[in-house]
Amino acid sequence: MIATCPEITRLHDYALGKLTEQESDEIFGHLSNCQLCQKCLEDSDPAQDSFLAHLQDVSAADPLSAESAFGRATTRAKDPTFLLELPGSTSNAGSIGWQREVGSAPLPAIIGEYQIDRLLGQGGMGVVYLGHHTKLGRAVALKVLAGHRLADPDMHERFASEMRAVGKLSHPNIVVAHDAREIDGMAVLVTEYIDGLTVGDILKRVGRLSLPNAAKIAHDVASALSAIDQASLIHRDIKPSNIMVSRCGQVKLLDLGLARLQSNDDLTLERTVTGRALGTVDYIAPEQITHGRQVDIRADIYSLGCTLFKLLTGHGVFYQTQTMTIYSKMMAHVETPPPSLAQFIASAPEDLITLVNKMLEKDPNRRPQTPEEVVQRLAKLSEEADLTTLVEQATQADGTADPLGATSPALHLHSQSVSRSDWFRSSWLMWLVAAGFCGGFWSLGLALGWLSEVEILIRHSSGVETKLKVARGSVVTIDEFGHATVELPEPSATSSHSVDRPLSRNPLEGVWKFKGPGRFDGAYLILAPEQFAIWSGSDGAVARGNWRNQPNTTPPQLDLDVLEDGHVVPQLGIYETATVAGEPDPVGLTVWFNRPGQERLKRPTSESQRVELHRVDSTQLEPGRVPVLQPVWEIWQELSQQPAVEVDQLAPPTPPVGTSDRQVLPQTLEGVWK
Amino acid sequence: MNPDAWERLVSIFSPIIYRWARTSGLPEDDAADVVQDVLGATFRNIGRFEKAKPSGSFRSWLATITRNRVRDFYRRQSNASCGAGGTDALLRLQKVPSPKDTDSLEDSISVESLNRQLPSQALEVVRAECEPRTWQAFWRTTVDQRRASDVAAELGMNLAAVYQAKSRVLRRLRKCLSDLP
Repeated sequence: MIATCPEITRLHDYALGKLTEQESDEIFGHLSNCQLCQKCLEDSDPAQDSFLAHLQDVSAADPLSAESAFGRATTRAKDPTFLLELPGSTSNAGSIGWQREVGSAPLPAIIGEYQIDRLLGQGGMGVVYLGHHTKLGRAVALKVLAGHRLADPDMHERFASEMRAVGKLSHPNIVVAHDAREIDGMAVLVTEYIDGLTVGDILKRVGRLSLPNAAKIAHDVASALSAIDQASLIHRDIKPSNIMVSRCGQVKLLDLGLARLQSNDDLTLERTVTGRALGTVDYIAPEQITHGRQVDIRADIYSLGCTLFKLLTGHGVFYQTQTMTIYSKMMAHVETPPPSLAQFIASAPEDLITLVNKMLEKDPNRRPQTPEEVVQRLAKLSEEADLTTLVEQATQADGTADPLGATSPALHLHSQSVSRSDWFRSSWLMWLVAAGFCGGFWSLGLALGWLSEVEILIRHSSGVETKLKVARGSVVTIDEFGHATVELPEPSATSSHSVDRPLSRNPLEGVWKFKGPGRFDGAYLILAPEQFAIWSGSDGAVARGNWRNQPNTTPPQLDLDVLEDGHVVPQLGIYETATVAGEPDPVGLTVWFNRPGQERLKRPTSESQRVELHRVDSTQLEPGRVPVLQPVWEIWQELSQQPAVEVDQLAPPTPPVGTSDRQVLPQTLEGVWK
Repeated sequence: MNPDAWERLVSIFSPIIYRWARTSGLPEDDAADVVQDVLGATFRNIGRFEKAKPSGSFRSWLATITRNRVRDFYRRQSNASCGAGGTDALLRLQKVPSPKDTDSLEDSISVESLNRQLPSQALEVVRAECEPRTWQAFWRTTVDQRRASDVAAELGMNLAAVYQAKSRVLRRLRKCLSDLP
């Protein structure tokens, strides 16, 4: 308590909440016992500040917030796993809600034509019963998905279509689906019954697996994935608890087609953030986190890589400490280079280390591209596997084994030498190129090669080197996030150069020679790798580009029609020009693909605006989106013909278009641009 | 970012995003999708804003991606066929009907609009954390601008407690707002 009365201004600060908690408590102590200060404070009517004025403006309750969609959106948004549409939890993670549900509901005696024998287990996806067909006698597993889930017609249709697709698959390593139906509003999936253990259970019981056994399991799952891929499906939730090994040693992949049903599950709201997805985030591919819906089979290959890592080491790829949160694990998948298997298993053969490293690549393009590739590489390694004995041992084990087996504690220590910010830094070239290539909109950075150049070698902390040729006198600014801006100097003489690729950390990403008429001859086109490595072209080439929007495909495909001798070109729009005072022509361009769904806003009218736009581009972009685009339409009139892109790899065979097509693009462009 | 901080961020910003989307003419469900999309993107990018960034960049980013999502909605409506070639698509783009032209979206979904709405969202958040009587003492003295001694009599509190309630709520409000990215 303060003995002497505080200044009236201090009382005002107190009443306005401007003091710290401790200061406020002291004043309160005094005020409680000092009638004089109470009277002073009340009579002097604390001065209004702008903050209070704001509050007094606050109107009555917002009618929009009463809308049901609003409540749904905000409730969902609090769960990041929901936001990111991650697949469902493991059998361990989400089981609490289910136990409650199972406990309160009596075991059904019969489901359709199936007699229920006993409860087999319960997991994130639902409750599983052992049953048999009443007429055929065949033993089956019945997975009952969440009740009331199918009340939503969309979900109903999704379930039906997923199951139709799954039902067509027949592969020795995929659990056979016999039937999928809706019974009393519940989705029920009837599959063959596998007498065995999940790989998750095996790990818990016997610890990490021998190399041949781990390789064999991954081999068989890859083989299953190969069939899944050929059916244009994706599993999306490859993890040990979704893989079973039967008593005869057969590997069976479970839950195909269920991951996507899970994501909109109303039950997710009831699960805690940490409880629900922790198990799954050990195996989730980076693009499942960053792109959500747009993933392909290569995400499964990543998850299989994580699974294989777990089988061999007994812990997840980003196993560091017990305190690692779902957030940090997810960020690690996106940003942290995975440790090499060699750090944990000294005796691991080089082939295996390389394969696992490749499967764990952040960039899907750098992973094995097909499950078949994984199958082939694991074939030899798994020759001495003995899964029958493994299951037998696991069945006999009491389930309390140290999940890490007898491995040395030293194995748990691995360094994560590259931090998130390093990763951002190393990816700066992507940003330089003016933005996210993944998803909504792609653009190309283009700087003209009219100046004498200097070569800059940038050595990233990850050890990768990037070579960049820029005009002498250019200022390259790399900000704290690793975004680079190149400011061109005043122009001098015109010259033309070609630059060897690759110039960036990604071997496919590079600066390519860009050929076009007039002033644009010899310009450089900076490309992101994934999408454009397949181009080929040379002088005078003209081609048409078409987007193919495929669900489940990331990144979106750009179909390029190849004209004449392998020349291709996308339809380019000019996004932004770089101009220099006194020069009538632009000295640099950022070009973009002509694609439905892109945005056009203002065009830059001054150099400072251009610089500002660059800044906005490189700092405020959500990956995959370009919020501010600046097509400068008039420039096209200077380009009397289409530019072509020179590349050194031929596109995969796309049917050549007849020469008559050569005229199509300029003609239609003329209609637009003039 | 820890889950609590995330929840608070969602509590504060999601009503604003929703309101932006609805007042731009989106139906309820689509507005909810926009909220989810924008916050999903926010979650993925939150690391960038947790670093030392000039204040306000998060807010302008949030406004930008919300505008884009709203435009996406109108574009989807007008763009029945995707994947068509560039020129046709461009022509179509130029005809995209939208109840809001680009400039008006820039005005209505903006940092200024965000900043205007933040105090009332913070009020809601702090209200949920307060005892009802504390809240009433604050509300009646501060927003209704009534005499503290009258409010004290109504609520059966002593005068110092009324001031303490007001002080505490305002302190929390200030903190809530200053903690926001």
